[in-house]
Amino acid sequence: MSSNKNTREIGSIFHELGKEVEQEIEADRLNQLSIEARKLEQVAKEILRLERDMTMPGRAVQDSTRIERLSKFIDEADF
Amino acid sequence: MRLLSLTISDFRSFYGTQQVNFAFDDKKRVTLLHGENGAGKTNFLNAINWCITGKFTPQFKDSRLLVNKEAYREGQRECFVEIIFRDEDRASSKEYRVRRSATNEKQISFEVFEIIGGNSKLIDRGDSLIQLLLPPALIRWFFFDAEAIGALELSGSEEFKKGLRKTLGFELIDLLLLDLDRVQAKLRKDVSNQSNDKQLQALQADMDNIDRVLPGQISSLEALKEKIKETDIQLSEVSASLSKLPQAEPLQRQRDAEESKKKRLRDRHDTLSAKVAAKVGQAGPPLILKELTAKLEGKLEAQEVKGRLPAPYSDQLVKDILDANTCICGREVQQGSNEEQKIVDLLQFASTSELNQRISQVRYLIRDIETDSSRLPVQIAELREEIATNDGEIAMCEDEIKQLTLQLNGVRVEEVQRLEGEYQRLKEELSTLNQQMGAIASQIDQNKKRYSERKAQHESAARKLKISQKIKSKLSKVVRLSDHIRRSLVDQETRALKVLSLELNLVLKKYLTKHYTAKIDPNNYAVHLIDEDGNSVAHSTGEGQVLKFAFIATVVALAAKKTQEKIQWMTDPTVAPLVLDAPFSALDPDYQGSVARNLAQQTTQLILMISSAAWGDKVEAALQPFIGKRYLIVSEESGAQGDKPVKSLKIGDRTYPLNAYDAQRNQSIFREIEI
Repeated sequence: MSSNKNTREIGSIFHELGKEVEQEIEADRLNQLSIEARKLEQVAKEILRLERDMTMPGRAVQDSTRIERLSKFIDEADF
Repeated sequence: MRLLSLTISDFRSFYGTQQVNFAFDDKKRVTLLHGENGAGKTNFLNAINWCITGKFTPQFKDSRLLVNKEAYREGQRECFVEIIFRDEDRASSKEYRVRRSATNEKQISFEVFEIIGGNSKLIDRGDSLIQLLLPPALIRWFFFDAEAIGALELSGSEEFKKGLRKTLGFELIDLLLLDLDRVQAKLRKDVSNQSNDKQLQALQADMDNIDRVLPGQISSLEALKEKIKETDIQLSEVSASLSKLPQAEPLQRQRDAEESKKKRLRDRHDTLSAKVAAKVGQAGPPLILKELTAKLEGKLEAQEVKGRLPAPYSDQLVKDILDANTCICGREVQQGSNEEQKIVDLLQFASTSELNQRISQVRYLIRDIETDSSRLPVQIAELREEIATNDGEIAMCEDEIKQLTLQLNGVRVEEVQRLEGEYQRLKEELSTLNQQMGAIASQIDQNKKRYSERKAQHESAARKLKISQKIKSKLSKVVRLSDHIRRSLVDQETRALKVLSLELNLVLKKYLTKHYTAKIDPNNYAVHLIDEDGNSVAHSTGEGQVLKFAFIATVVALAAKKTQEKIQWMTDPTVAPLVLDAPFSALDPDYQGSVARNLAQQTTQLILMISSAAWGDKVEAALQPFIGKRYLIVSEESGAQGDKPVKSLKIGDRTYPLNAYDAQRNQSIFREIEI
């Protein structure tokens, strides 16, 4: 029983470590990007969030409204 | 979403109103429904599917006859299915009641109620809530009838790739890219409107025209694909019926085998042709450049022989002479003298390490071009030879199919003749549909190509015109952003497939006793099973069947974000019951237990419909710890028993009958078995 628990704990530690390594790799990847590319990455994430919000069931807006809002977002975004 | 109960009324084989309560506990999460073929397992699965999604599984026949026939004869014109479920994924746990009713002609109502303190409150736009809880892209992974698992195509069809991309969450990015294209198109239109340039306006008009036509063509293509799928199902049903007739069985089996072989050979023809096209593309530049490079190499050699390339002296030697103010002959080089200037001029032609490196690179390039120009034509010829052999085999297959068809036509049995007629009709229909699909797909390709050419021409023409800097800069921003997202999509897709493959292999380890590895082809998403000797294992084998179960379980676990690795773009965790008409009998007995146990472990709620053929000690032992509810679906017939058998199921020490005769009416009845 305790060996099972230990195995689970070790598994969880490895999992956490794996996550930390992944985060570090992602941070490294972002650091290696040029300022311009980093900005683009950030804007891409934000615009994807906007698209998700506009297409979510129950909150979906019309196609033309979506295009308008995306266009406005790009206009205002600094990159 | 965890299902608590289902109430079914006059739906298909279920007469009157009956209720089934599901197991939804974290530990006791499995509900078992035992029933023989024809008892109503597929009807039950479709009752759940239809109530929640409004759709049926692809193999569900006569979906326009929903009202129970006996009830219909008694004057009942409406049926309904009602499900109570709990949503525990949100901040708080809520219970809902969803009810769908229909006549044979049309759906009458679809309502979703929130249950608060025992009272039901109708929810506005209930369909949106359902879509939020069970996204349409994921639905197909949660409802499987008996044929669907066998028919699950993991060999990389276009449809499979499309469906899986949706499942992995790339639909949203695809839509965003499409929307960004629309933003670009709108801005280009602004550019055209702002300028009075006739060429620009003509290009814009052409693009507008394509924009008007393309959506219609794409939806026609989708409709044709759908129709082909339906016809394919009908054809396989007729083929199965023919195989059941003793007079036609051996011939039909042979013809099916030949048809499958022909399909494989056709796929191989396509793969080989694609390889030839790619090689021809690669071979073009080296073949064109070959003559030029031969001349260039000749010139390089001539210059080398003359000692001019690289120069017989290095830049360092010249610099050293200038630094030391002494020539190699020992004479002094005075600063500002003509001699010093002559030596400085030598630097222009001196060999530098950079120049030497560039000459080496040119040599390597020449060598590569020479190698490619001799190697690629040989490879292309070999591939063409393979295609010719493959095409010969296709022709042999077609001859064999013709012969078998003639023999089948010669079978003078009315039912065989009728089915054979139907088979040929469907074959012709399929061929016509495929031709139509090919034609429309080619029109779409041409229009897309033309659009992108016009777009490039428009961009180039607009650059030369005086138009608002604001529009230009905005257009450039959209293009840069779209390009970035497209590149990042490729990276994310590669990563998602890695995660899927990793998780799938973890599941496979639990299912299979020997070492097998699943590999996913990033090009077409085909899932290959590789044995320990590195050989590919066919999907039709026992292990191939296990792979399908493992794949379903992996996708369901990824959707619920229950896996160690997560896929970034997938929607919020989707927790829903996996409803399976489980064909465990298709599995090797060694694997039945492990597949059943792991399915129960990996899902949040599992509803299994099992026939006695798929039931055995191993499955029973594997599922035992998880079973919370258990029902029999008893098939009652109004006719006399005659020679027909009563089928039964043994659970523990008790034996339960699964069908009965001399009943009041034909119907399926749920009987709960105490756990």
